[in-house]
Amino acid sequence: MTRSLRVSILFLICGFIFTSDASPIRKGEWSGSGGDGYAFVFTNLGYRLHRELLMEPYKPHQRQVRDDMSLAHFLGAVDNTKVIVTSEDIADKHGHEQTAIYYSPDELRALYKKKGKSRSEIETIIKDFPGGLIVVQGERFQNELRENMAAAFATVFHEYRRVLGLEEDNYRSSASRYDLEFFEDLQHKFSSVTQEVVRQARQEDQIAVSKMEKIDREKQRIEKELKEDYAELAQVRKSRRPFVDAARKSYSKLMNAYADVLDTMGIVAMPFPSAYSDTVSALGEAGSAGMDMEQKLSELEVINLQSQFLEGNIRRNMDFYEKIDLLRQKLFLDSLK
Amino acid sequence: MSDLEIDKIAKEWGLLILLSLLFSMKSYAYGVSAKLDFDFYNGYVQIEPMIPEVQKNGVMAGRQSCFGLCFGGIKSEPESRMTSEKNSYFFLSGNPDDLTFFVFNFTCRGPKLLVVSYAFHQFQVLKGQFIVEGTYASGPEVVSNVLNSLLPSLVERTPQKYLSTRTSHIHYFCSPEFRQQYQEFSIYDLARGFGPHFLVKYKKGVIHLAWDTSVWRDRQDQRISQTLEETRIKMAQYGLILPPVEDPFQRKPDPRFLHFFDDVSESQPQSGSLFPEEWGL
Repeated sequence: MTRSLRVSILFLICGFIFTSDASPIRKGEWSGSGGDGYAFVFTNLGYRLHRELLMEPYKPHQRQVRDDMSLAHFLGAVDNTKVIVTSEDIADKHGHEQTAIYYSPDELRALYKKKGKSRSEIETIIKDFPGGLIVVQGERFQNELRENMAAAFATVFHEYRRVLGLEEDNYRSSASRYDLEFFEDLQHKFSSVTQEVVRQARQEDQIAVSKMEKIDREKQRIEKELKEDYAELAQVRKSRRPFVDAARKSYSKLMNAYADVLDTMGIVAMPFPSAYSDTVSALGEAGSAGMDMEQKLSELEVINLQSQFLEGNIRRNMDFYEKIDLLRQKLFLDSLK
Repeated sequence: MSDLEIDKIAKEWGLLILLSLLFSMKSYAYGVSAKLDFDFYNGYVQIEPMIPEVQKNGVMAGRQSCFGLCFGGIKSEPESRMTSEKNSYFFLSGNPDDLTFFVFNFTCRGPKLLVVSYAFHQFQVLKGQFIVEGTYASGPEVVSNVLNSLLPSLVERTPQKYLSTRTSHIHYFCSPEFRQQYQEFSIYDLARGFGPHFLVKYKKGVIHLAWDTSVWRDRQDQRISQTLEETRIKMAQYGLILPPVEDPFQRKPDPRFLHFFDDVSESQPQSGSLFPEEWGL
């Protein structure tokens, strides 16, 4: 997990805790605070989506999302893109209403210029979110969350793919590539942690919650996520070992096969005629061992990425947990003064 | 043209391609040779080290079944260097999933180090890579850089008296002290990574390596285990109780590891020179 990701999540969640202030989405509030509860939910779904895609078991004969795009880049897109919520209607270039729209940094420059901002102001804004800006239509997104989580996932997935430049300005490409079944499947895997985040966002949208309560809720959320990651990492470790052993066996076979190839050749530049058939046969063995090795490494690579991600998540969450716990102590002490 | 002929041509081309790959390796005429047996799963590797002798006419005299570097580009050394005093050493480094075998040759004139030639074979098991490299270096600056990057732990141990200038430490490798300490094959670095669970023996010209696979865990597994344990301890301070970490894969040591000393050390020295007597090493 990169430092920038940790920092951005920290700011994101701090923003969620301290600035959302349970305010409803205000009419015409286009610029947005970024700390709006539903903006946080949108980003959180992005992170969860990355996690689900990464944790998907390796399937050797099936094309998976990770084969189509770099999941590390997807995570970077979630990390570097600001999300704001608006009550204004959003339409695509054909005038069709949609739940969210993505502005690349260049589009934002043009847009802010129209709004009369100076060049230095524009650059200062854009520096904060180098991936660009996703504007979410609050009501539509809330409806998706309430009525069809798979549709909400599809929206999030589509927008972050646009950040990566992988989608056109419509849903056709992602819809054709990843049908609704794909997102419904994700919805079933959707962990209790994210459901809790969505539930909290709904509640806090309606009632005022004190800072102390928000911290406690956030601590509870992190505890659940840590438990989940801990159990999952222990499981990944358990399932990883046979892959490591298989890779070791395969590597040994490959090295022994290479040694056999050279053994049949002798030291002269060309093989002895008598060794010819042996060499060809040894070459075949080496080729087969090479393919086997490649397969084993692909399996291991996927599981290694999963464990690295979970390790990073655990460390980031522990770090953040300590910080908000300290903050809670400080708030408590201040309240006694 | 018949199918048989096409098949024959295809096979010949296959061999030619393989040979060109082998010959294109950037290498020097020092290598590790055959009688190889790799079993990274059960923790057992056999390797026969060899330094092919480069004749004055540039022809390499070596054994058959030479593996890797021995097939590389052969360069003869200038005669003047051939007559200089030579010191060859063999080292291991890394860990069982990332083993490197080094062969070093220091050409000395008196106490001065003139040329370093080296070769190494690196077995990166969990990356599926096998790296073979070798070349020679001369000139104090270049030699110093080569030694610093390839043998950092030996360079660190250079006695103070050889550190008068930035590059003077290279001459330590031609000193009687160095020769006395490392004239037999040495293992550096490895002990730091794996300790007593890794055994190395030399018998009848073959190096046998064995490690206790019931103990050895690859680096990533070690890190996962550490992360889990740290999380458990840290979160317990906040009242979050997580189940203790258990090793999910208990394994018995390979019998070859348990009988390693019986098998290998009988009537043999525990360690010995890897090089022919006439080389005077």
